[in-house]
Amino acid sequence: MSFSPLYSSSAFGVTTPDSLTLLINLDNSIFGPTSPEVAAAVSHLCGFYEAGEKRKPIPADDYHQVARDYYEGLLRADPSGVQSLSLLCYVSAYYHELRHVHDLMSTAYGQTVLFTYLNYYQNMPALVAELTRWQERYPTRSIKLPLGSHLSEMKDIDDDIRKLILQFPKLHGTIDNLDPAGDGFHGRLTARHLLECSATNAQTSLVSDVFGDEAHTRLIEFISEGAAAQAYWQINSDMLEAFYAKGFRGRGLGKLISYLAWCALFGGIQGGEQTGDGVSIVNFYHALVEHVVHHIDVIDFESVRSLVDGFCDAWGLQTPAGNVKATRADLESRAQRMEKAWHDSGASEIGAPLVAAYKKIVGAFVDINEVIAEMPEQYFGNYFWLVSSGILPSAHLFVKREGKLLHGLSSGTELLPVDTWDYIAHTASVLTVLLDGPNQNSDFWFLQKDALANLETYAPNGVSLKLEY
Amino acid sequence: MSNIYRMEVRSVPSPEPEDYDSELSTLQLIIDACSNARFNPVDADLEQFGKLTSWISFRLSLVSLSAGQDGDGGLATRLSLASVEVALRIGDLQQYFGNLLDQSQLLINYGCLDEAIEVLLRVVNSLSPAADHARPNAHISLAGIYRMQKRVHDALYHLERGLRYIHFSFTPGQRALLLEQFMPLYGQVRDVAGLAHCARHMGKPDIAKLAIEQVSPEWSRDEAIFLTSRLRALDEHDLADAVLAAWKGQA
Repeated sequence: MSFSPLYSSSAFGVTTPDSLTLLINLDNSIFGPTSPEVAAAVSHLCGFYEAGEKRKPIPADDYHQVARDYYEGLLRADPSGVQSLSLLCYVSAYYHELRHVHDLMSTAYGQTVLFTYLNYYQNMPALVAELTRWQERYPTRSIKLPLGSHLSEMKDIDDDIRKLILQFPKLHGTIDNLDPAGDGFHGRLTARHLLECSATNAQTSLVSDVFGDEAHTRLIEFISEGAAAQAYWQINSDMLEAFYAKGFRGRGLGKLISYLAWCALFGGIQGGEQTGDGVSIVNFYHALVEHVVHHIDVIDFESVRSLVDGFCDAWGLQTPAGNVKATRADLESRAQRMEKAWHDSGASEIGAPLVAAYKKIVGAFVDINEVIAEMPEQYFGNYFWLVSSGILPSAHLFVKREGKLLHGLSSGTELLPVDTWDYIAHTASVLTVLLDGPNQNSDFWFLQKDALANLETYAPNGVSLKLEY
Repeated sequence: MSNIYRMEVRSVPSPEPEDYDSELSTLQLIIDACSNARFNPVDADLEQFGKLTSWISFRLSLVSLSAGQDGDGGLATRLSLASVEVALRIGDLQQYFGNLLDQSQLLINYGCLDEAIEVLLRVVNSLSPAADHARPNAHISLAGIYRMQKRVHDALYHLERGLRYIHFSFTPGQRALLLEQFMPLYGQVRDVAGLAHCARHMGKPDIAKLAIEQVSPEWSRDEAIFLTSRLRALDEHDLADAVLAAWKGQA
């Protein structure tokens, strides 16, 4: 999924994994321009406030009633149902996207994706500095983007920077290799399907809990009809069929499926890196599913956890708890190596912001996993409640509303200050525009535009970059 | 298109009329309307013909298949669309998904395979419990179409999703007939689990065991786990246990 944003169904929200930045566009959706009534309701229910706005947060005890009042009000005002469906999609998309952030931060797969990006970002200052030096040598020439396609025109650029630029496509490959496409069995599942399944379950469970069964059915039908329905539903429909065929009739499978997906997101990386004899993520997921479906008698969370542990023991794999412990040690060691590398290069001050941010992200892995260990059924089955309780780390958030761009953090414990998130997002955007080339169709074009403006005005020695794209 | 396998079982009871004479009369009026090539059941006021019921929807679907067999593709299409429309309008989603299966059969018979796939995917991608009864047939039909189109992995994926349901309901003869068609596909993709499963159900259990005997402790954990989970997906649990034992050197 290298650099590909993770979308909620029909793109009511989007998360970019290269900087864990989340965007909700309250101005437009697949239904066209969003009505002020829907935008206001979503903002109130999700807590998107402008600085100085007087509206108060909704007390937890009143939340369901307030949400249903909004929903029913929109149903009455618009019998076509578009407005009320839009409300459901927006509110649930917000939790869908948040879930991506938490799943990425709490699993070995997600942490490796984040580290791979951050590891590359460390080179951004050196890259920009070299471009500046090149521009000073050739003040009348322009720097053509993407850089990799025009390197031949920059013959005397520093060799290390040339290597860095040439390595960029490999970054995509490195991340793709974490999530290799299957050989066709298992319906060509990828780690992305697991992430989408988990986020969609969090989304639909919220709607069922807060807005009721009728709203839940409407949302499911809407997602099912979407162009990308397969990505969101494939795992769920496979599992529902497997349990149905076994005689299970009823609800409540979502949290079990999400738990198996989450366990699998530790699979391949852990074993592959540490022992060279691991199990790929999708293979691990399917093995867990088949083992559980075959052996389960009582369909409940504890039985599934116990069966997963039993499977891991039988195959000499680490249990999920063991995976968390081993991953933590691995991540902390990575953070130390990153810090030492900067120290050894004599440029600790330049690397300090990213090293500090990375340590916090590793800390988030620990924090979220402590919550999951303590309250697994809440994380996998009642995620909305867990987010509302404020004990999960906050995410970096942009909201487009009434032509303005609101900017801040989601509710929760502060993982990184907004300024640090901005720095990470800016670094990601600078690299994206330089190495991938600017893309006006990107959901995050506003960040890319800022990055370009900053680059074009950056002139430490009086010569600014002349970018051509 | 007769070599696309379809299970001849209906997993939900056929609906019965509440008022036979009245419903028969409504059914006849809709059939008459459908004989007009300009009649579009999707936009039509079907209620004008009388009270719509599940039985009418069910019968329309059967008549559409019959018209298709008689070679009147236009009439068959309109009747099929009417059957689906009636089911939707009365909110009988079980009948709706059942009729989609019939519609796909009609499309298959007329060689419209891509359109049939589209209809069948509506069944298998629906998360509605009302689609549960139609899913096995939909998967097996998709498997058959993909096999015709030489989309081997897609064919085997849907075959196995369909097989989940019929492990317990198919007779040995039905299963052997089905697997006979798909065994060559497993050979094409060199899938040991699929070949072993087919061999066992086609009266060659020794071949299935031979396939497992190649497993050794030298296999990577990933390979051994892959084979085991593939076998479990095919309900071959004894063979799956044998793989684990062989991989551990305990065979």
